[in-house]
Amino acid sequence: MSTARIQEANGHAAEETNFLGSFLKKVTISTSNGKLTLPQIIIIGVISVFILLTPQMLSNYRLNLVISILTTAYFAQCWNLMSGYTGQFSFGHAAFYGIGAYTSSILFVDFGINPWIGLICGMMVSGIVAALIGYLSFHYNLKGDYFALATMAFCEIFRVIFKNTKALHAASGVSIPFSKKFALMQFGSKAGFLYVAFIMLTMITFGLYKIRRTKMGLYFVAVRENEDAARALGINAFKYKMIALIASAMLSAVGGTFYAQYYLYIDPTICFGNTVSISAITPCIIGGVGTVFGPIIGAAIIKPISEITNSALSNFVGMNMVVYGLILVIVIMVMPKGVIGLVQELRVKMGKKKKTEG
Amino acid sequence: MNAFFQASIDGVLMGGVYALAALGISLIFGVMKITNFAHGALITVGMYVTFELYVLLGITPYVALPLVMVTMFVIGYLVQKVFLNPLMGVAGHNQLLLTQGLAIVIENAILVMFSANYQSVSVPGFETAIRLGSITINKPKLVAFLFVAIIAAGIYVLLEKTDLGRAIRATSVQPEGATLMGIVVPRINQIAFGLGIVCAGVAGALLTPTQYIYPTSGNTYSLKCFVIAVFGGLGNIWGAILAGLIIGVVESFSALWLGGSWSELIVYMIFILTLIIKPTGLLGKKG
Amino acid sequence: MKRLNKVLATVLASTMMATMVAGCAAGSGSGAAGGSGSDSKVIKIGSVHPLTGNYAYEAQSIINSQKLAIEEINAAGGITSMGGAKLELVVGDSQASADTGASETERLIAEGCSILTGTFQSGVTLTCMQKAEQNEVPFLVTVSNNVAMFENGFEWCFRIQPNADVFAQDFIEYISAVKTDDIKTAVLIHEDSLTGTDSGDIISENMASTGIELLDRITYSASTSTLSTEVTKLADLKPDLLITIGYFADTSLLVKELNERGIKIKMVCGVANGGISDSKFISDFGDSVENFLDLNYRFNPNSDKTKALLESYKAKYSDDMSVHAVWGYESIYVIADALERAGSSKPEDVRNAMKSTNITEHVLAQSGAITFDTKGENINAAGVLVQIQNGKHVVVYPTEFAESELRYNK
Repeated sequence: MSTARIQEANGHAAEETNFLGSFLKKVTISTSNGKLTLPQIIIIGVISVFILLTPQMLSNYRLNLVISILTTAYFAQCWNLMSGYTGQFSFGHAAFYGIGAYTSSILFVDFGINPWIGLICGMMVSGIVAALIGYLSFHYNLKGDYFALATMAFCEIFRVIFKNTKALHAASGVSIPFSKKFALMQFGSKAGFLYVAFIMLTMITFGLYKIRRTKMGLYFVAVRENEDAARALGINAFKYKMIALIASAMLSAVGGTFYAQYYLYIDPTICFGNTVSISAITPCIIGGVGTVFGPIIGAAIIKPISEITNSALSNFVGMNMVVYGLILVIVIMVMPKGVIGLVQELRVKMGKKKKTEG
Repeated sequence: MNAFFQASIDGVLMGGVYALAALGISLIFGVMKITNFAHGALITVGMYVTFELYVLLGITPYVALPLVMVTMFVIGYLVQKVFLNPLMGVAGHNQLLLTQGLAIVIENAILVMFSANYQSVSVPGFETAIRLGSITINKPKLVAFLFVAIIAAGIYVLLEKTDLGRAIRATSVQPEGATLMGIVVPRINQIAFGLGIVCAGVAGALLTPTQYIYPTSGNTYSLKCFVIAVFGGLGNIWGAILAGLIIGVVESFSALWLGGSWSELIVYMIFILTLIIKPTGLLGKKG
Repeated sequence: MKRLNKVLATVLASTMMATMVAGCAAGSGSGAAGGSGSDSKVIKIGSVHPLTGNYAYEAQSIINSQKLAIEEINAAGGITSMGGAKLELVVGDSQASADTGASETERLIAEGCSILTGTFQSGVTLTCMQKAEQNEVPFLVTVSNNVAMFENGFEWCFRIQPNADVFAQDFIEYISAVKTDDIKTAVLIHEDSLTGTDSGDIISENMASTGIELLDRITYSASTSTLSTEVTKLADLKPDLLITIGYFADTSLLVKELNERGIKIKMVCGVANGGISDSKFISDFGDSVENFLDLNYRFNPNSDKTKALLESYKAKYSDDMSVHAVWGYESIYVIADALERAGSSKPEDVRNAMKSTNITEHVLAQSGAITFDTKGENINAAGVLVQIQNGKHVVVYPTEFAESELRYNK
C-alpha cells in the first residue's frame, strides 16, 4: 500500500558510492519509517546543545529571536501533525492557539486560577472546539480547499466573537501581570523561557518521529495519500482525522498559553488574526510538509530572514515586506517540497547519476 | 419601514461590487482550481491604476475603465505565466501560499511606490445621492451595479458563445482532454487568470469614487469575496452574482439589527453552513 | 531548465542556512542591553511604529516629526551636558503586530538605544512596554489611548498624550459647557477596536451628566467598506448631536454617506477622531464639514513655537503636520530634556531624569507643564475642542487656547 510506496521511494539509493550522495542519504530524514542514523543523531545533538547554550552567548534581542524560532517551530509542528501527516490543510489554526491563550489568561486574570491549571483547561477547551469543528467538517466531507477555507472562516468567527464580547474582554484584550515566579508560569529570565520552549519543541518533534512507526501513524499517512482507498481497506478515516485534529488543537493551545505568559498581553487580533495561522504554515512549506524536521528547518530559515529584512531595510518603508514576500514566493516556486524535499530529490539524482556512470 | 427599504437598497448595491470581485475568484477557481489570495491586493492595484490615470490624464474612473481592463488583463496574464503555471499540478496548499506571498509583495510594493497617503478620486456630480422619497440611492454604487451587470453578461457571452470560451470551459472540466483536443492549456490558464484579474481590477476601479485609496484598501474584500464565490458555487458566474447580492443584503440587515461588528460573523456562518449543507454552492452542480 | 532549478535551489538553500546561522549568531551590537556610556558622541532613540499595514500614513507622520525635532536639536548644538552629543533616530517597523513590535523593541535595545518610543496601536504598545520593562529601558509612548496600559505598575514607561479617560472626561465636561439648549439628544458611533471602545464606554456611562440623552450607541469595524446601514440607523434617530470616534478612512466613509443623503446634523463632535482633525479631511469635504468639532489632542495654536513648527514641517515634508505627529515631535524634546539633566545616556539615568520632568516650554495645548505622575502619565494632559471654521482647524475651547469662538449651526 502507500507505506510500501514511500519505503520504495526511499530505498532507491541502494548502492551509493559517491561521498556526497551517501552523506546526503545519511543526513536526510524522510517521511519513511526510517530510524535516525548515527550521523543524524549527532547533528541533532550538536544543534540542541548549541541552542541550549545560547543564553550564555547571546544578547536579549538575539535570544528573543531564538525563542521566536522555537515557538514558531512548535506551532508549525502542531499544524504539521494535523495537516502534514493526515493531509487535511487547516488555514485557521490560530483558533486553537488563541483559545488556549485566552482560556489560561482569563482564568488567571479574572478568576485567579493558576496558569498551570489554566494551561490544562485551555487544552480541554481547545480540544472540545476542535472536536466540534472536526465533526462538522469531516462528517460533511469537507476536503482540500473547502476544508482550508472553512477553518479560516471558523477562526474569523472566533476573532469577531472575542472582539465584541465584554465578558471576554472584547477589544481591550487581557494583560497579565509580570512576575518572575515559576509557580505563576513565568520563567524569570529569557533563558527560562528558552529552555521551556526547547523542551516543548523536542517533545512534539519526538512524538511526530515516533508516531510514524505506530499503527496510528501509518493510518494517518494512508488517509493522506488516498482516503478512499484507505476507507476501502477498512480504516476509519473519520476517527483518525478527528484524533489528529484534536491532538493538534490541544498542543496548539499550549503554544498559545506560552505566548500569553511570555508577551504578557493578548487581544483578538494577536490570537486569531490571519497572519497567525499563516505563521504556522510557512515554516512547514519551506522545510517540508509532513516531515519530522521540516518545520524546524523552515522556522530557522524564515525567522532570521524576516529579522534581517526588518533591520536592514528599516529606512525604506515597505521594502522589508516586499523582500519577505518575494522570498516566500521564490521558495515555493523553486522548492515546492521544501528544503527536505529538495535534498531528497538531489540525493536520488545523485544516486541515479552514479548508477548510470558506474 | 424606511430603514428596511434603505438597507435593502444599500445591500443590493454593495452586493453588486462584491459580486464582481467574487466573479473573478470563481472564474479562476473554476478553471484552474487555484485559490487566489492575491485577489484583494489586485483590487487595490485596480484602484491605483485608476487613480494614476485620473492624475495623469484627468479622466474619471468610468472613462478609464477600458484602459484599466487592459492593464489588469496583462498583469493577470503575466502573473499566471510567471508564477502560477509552473506550479500547476503541485499541491494546492502551495498555490494558496504562493498567492498569499504575492499579495504581500503587491501590497507593499504599492506602499513603496505610492506611500501610504490616502488618495481619492472625485467624479463630478457624484457628491449627492439620488432621492426617491425618503430613500437615497448612492450614485457610484448604482453605476457600479450597472457595469457589473454588463461585464457579467459579457463574460457569459464569452464563455458560452465563443471558441475561446469553449476552450476555457473544456479546460476547466478536463485539462488532459483539452490538451488532446489541441488546446494549449497553459495559455488558456493565462487568459482565464487574466480575465479573473480584470474582474478584480474593475471592481477596484468602480470602488474608487466611494472610498479612499490606500495600500491595504482591497484587503477587506479578500476573504469575504471567497465566501461569496463559494456560496454561489465556484466556477459559476451567475452563482457569484446571486451570492454577492444576497451577502450584500445579509450584511446590510445584520448591521441594521445586530450592529456592524457582528455582521461579519453572520457572513462567515453562512459560509460554513454552505460548506456543510451544499458545498457546491447555490448554483453549483451537485456532487 | 529543471537542472538549473535544482542548482538554484541548492544555492538558495545553502544561502538560507548560512543566513540562519548569521542571523542567530551574536553579530553586530554590543550584546549588552541599552545605550553606551556618557562619552558617546551619538545617542540613539528608538522608534517603533506600524510603517507597513493599515496605519502606515499616521506612522510615517510621527516618524517625520521625530526626525524634524532631532534635526532642530542637533543643529542647536545637541545635548550640551554630554559634550554636544547628537541624537539619532533608529526606526523599527511593528508591522501592526504585537510580536513583531516586541521583537523590534528588543532589536532597537540591542542596537544601543537609550530610550524607545512608539507605537500608535495600544495592543502593540502594551506588548512593547512589557519588553521595555523587562529589559529595563525607558519607553515613552508617542500615541496610544488605552488607560489600562498604565495600570500595570510599570516603572520604565511614560506617556505624554492624554489617555482615553482624559478624552472622554474632557468631552463630557466641555460639551456640557458649550452646548446650547436645543441640543437634547445624541447618538454615539464608533469603531470597535480598543480606541473606540475605551472612550466609548466612558462616554456612554457618563453621558447623563451632560443633560443630553444618549439615544443609541452604534459600532462598526474600522476596516469596513461601507457605513450605509449605520447611517440609515442614525438618520432614523434624528439626534441633535453626533459623537464619533474613529480613524481617518472610516470617518470619511461616514461623512461621505451623510453628505450623499443630504443629512445635516446640528452638532457633530468627534472624540480623538483621526479624520476630523486631519487637514486632508477639510480639503476633501470642503464646506460640508464646516463647524464639525473634535475633542482631540493638539498642539497649542497660540504659541509661536507651534507656528514655527508647522511651517518647518510643511516645508520639509510638503504635507500638513497631523495631530499625531505632534507627539513624535514633543516626545523627542521631552527625551532631550531628560538627557540634558541626566548628563548620561544610560537607560537608568535617562529614566530617573524623566521622572522629574517639568517642561513649561512646549507645543502642547495643555495648561501647565509636562510632568509625570507615579504611573508615568502626564498629569496635565488635556484635550481641546477644535472646530473646522472657514476651511481651517481652530481651537474653540477651553478659552486659554481658543483661537476663535465656537460656531453653532442653526
